[in-house]
Amino acid sequence: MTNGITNEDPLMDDGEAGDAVAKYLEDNPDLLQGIVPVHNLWPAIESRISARAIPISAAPVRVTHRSLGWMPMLLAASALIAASAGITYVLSTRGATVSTRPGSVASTGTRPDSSIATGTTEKQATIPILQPQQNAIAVANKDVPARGGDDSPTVVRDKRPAVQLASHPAASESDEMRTTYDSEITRLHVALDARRGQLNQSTVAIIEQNLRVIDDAIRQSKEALAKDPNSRLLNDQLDHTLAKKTGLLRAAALLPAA
Amino acid sequence: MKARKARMRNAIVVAMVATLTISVMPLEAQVVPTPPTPPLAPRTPRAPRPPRPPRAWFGSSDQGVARIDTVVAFSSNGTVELSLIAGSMRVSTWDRNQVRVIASTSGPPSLQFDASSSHITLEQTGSGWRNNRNGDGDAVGRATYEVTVPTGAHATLSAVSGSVDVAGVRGPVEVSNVSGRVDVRDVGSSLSVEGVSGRITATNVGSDARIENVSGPISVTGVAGTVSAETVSGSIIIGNVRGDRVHATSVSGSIDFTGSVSGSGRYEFETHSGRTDLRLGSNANATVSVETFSGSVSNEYPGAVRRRNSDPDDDRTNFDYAIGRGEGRVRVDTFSGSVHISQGNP
Repeated sequence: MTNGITNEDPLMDDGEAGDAVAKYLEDNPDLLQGIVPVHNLWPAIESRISARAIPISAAPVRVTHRSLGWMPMLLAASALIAASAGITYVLSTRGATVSTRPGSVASTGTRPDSSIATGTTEKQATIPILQPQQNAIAVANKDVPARGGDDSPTVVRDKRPAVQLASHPAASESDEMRTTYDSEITRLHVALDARRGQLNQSTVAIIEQNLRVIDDAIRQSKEALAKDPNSRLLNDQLDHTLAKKTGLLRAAALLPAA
Repeated sequence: MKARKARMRNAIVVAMVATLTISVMPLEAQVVPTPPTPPLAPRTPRAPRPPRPPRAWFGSSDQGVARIDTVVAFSSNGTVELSLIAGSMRVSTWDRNQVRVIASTSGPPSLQFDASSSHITLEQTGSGWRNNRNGDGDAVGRATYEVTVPTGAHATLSAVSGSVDVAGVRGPVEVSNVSGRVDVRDVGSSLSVEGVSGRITATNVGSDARIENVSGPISVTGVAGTVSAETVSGSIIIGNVRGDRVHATSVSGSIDFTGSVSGSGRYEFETHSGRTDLRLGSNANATVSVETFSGSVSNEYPGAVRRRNSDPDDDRTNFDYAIGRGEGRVRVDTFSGSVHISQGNP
């Protein structure tokens, strides 16, 4: 480097260095071959770097706009989750309250076993619960457990207010359980009826007889519970007897063909 | 800065909402009464077993055979599965890794026998057979099974209307019988019996015994493990249980319990209208809690101290009887069934 910038040159400031580089390149144009763009880029670059600076105070619009890209989604998602949880909670609570009605009636013995429950309120009327039949197989022998038809069991109405039941959590739990038993018993009746023709008739007679024993026990428990709804003993007795009936029906429905 | 604050505020709101959401969900689970475990959905009746490729046929007919007499090599702890519609089956043991089968039937349906080194099946089920389901049983041939299995075998036995006898099997035993008698003795492992109207007798069970019946009686004695007995109208007799857990329930059937009561034991008897008779050993060490809605209670156990139960729900008969140090727990619940407590053999 004899005619250019050398390490031995005295220190130059940025301006001097730039001028020196420019002069050097001017004196040696062959160095720029293949590097110089085919057209001048500088005007475009200059227009960009000389654009009006946006003051920071003006930025919020843009920043806010950008943050609104994910923040509303997060908020919406959170709100959706919260709403979903809330709705689930409310529905669960209401469902429990509503579902307690038929079972609670059952627990107080005001409705006979062979009945289809419908409520006086609209809410109840939309959730009919088929109660266990007094004579399981005899009732199940009908084509389909009809609801409200001429051949259906008696339709009775629960005239008690819902508040009375909802205020007793333990009763609600029991009632819900009994509602589950009732629906299960109904389904098992249908299943058993479907298999009736395959079973030994003397076995069916024994099953019927024992179902009557169970239904009699259920009736007695319900009558006693009507007088003392909070009795642990009576509630346990009723629940266990319902469980026994469910078990017997299930076992009967699964009996091997004769 | 304002934007930053706004972002922070939004983030805090999001965090609060998320926290609330997460915290509400477990609360909800606590507040809403847990629904009862729904009873199992009714299963559709088990479809007839598809014909399996025969590994060993005895006879020339595809419909099965009327008689089998054979011995096959078998694993010492293999599974023997026997089923019949009507007749009787007897299962005994020997100290050989073989199974001997002597079986016959007096008429259709015929017998099908399927054997591998670890699993044997013998069924009374001919494909060409049509049953008369009027209950008279005229159309059903009576089958007789005499099966000798290795001591450690696992036996699964089922009958519709037949008697079942099992003795000496040390592996688990499972029996189901609709209307016939079941007699099981000297089972080394667990025992499970399900019936409807037949008598069920179990003696000397090396582990747990679970027995369910409907109208037929249950008698179970000499059980080393826990006992669970359940009927509707059938009676229940339980004696000499060495395990410390006993659970017996009926609707109208009586419950009789005889035996010692350990200080760590839990014994539960529950019936609606059946009589409960407890004959406790002279060394009993338990508190007997009796609760009944309208049944009578009598106690003849010497030295039993009667005291009022602390349960406030006691406008009915509700007493505790302390026997010995009163450590074990015996509970009797009835609706109208009577309860009697006395001293039996130790």
